[in-house]
Amino acid sequence: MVLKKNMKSILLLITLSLVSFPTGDIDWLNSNGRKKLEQSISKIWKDQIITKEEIKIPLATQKLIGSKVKDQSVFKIVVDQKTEGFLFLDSKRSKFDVFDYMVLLNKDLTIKKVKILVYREDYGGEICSPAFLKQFRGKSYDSEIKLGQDIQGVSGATISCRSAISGIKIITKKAKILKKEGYLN
Amino acid sequence: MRIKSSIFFLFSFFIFFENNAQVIGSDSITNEPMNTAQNILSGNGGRITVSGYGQIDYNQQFGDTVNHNGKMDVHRLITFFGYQFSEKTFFVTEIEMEHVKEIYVEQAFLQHNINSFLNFRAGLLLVPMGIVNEYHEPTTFNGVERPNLDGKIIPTTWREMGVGLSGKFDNASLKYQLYLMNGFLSYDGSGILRGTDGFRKGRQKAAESIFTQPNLSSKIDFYGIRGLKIGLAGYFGKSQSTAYEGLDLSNENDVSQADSTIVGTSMLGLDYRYNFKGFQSRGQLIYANNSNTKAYNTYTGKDLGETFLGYYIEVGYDLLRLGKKDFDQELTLFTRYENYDTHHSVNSDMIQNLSYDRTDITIGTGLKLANGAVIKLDYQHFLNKEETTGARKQFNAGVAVWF
Repeated sequence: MVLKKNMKSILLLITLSLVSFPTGDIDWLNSNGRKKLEQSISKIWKDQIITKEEIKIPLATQKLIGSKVKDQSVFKIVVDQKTEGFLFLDSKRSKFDVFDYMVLLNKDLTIKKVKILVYREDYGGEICSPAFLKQFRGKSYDSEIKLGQDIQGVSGATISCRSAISGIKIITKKAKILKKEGYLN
Repeated sequence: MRIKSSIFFLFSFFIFFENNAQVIGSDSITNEPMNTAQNILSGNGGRITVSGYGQIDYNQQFGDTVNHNGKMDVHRLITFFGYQFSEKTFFVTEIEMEHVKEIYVEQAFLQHNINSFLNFRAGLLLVPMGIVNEYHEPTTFNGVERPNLDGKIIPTTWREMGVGLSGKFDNASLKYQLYLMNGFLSYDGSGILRGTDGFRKGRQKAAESIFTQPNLSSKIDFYGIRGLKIGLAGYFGKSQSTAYEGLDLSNENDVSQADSTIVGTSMLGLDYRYNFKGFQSRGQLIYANNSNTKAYNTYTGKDLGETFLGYYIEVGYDLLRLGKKDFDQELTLFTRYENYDTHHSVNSDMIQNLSYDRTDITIGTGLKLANGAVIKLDYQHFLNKEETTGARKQFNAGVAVWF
């Protein structure tokens, strides 16, 4: 009897479990990461049409930057047909794994928002806390971003804190060079 | 019927979560096959992770009327191996060599991430209590030796077999752990738990450990305030005993005798860690209450306390901040005041042993040469309530690394 009653919900769940989520334009990011990314951006520009336009970086420019820029990792954010900023996606190492994160830059290349999109292990998961990530707001390539000085780390998550800081620093550097080269307009 | 359908429901729920996540760590075909060593060395792309830490100490007691030899010890040398089976499933081991010749497995568990707020974990786990038991890498704490509270009351490194859940809620900046674990061994033919260091001898460390009943271990950490982390831990259960093996449960006399070999424990722990610029502070407050100690001590002839109480507070400052130039190195000056009493109260038949009410004062320095490499020097002053002839004094020097 109870089984019959639950049958509907069970069937619904099974159906839902078989439906795969639509693939976004960032194939390397998993579905949870894509979901988090969309949520973070749409929270900033509520009820507006937001499009992400990928900026492809040629190999020569990547060499100039001094680090690889993978496909689907640099985007222009256009809101109601106006450029509002730039989105950088990246992965960095935590203790035993890698985590994926986004850095959203204003048009003047200062940091608007940092969010950890996928964190895969227990160690260092504290860096996903908004209290930690908020500290990057307003920083740019010209700012000092040092752990323990400009950014207070989270105890027990030092490796991931350092990793996030080094990744974010590289992104601000990339942005500065890309702007100079005319990619971020 | 109801149970069956509930299980089915839960199972479908699990599948639902599973399918909503991509698994990218599956086997891939490559034209550059790698052996284990290359896999390790390749770093970023590899699925095996190797990490380690070391603590190399020199301890020298001094300052009383007799001579003391110094001790030079490769105290701990540890290798971590992690293997990632898929994006959501991995295995972690921590293998420790103590004093060069003793080998232990300190952690060995399989973890499966269902989603960010629900991870499943099973195997040999660390008990989440206080700071140092979970974060015992020597570069993460001040002083050559671990705080004595994390030894005499929390029997660091406290680990047992267990199974449970952990997870975090990012927006609330909360992390939780909840495990069912094996407990201390209190009896193996004779009594094991004792007054001076409470549970320490009772750790089974998952070496053919005896199991009679599970204990519950849990911790919540909050890190939503910049630079601050606060933890609240609880541990509840009963000890394990060989006296139950082959016991005829209808024989009341035998059962009552076996019941005298176990102790019930409730332990609560509060801890904080705070960092701001060059300033750092941390502290712990641990309280444990043991039941059945009267019967246990009478039967085994031991002197286990009824309640334990301990706390420490530590402050430090990185002197290189004053120079404002290079922050990659640190020169931390710190002091720690510690009090721990394993006879905070005793059962009615016993008299408190005042020498178990101890106060340690540590003053020292740590020079961080690079991230993960620290040279430490400190001086320790050990007092207890019984000793009237003065404090025991010790100088320590050590090398601490973590990579």
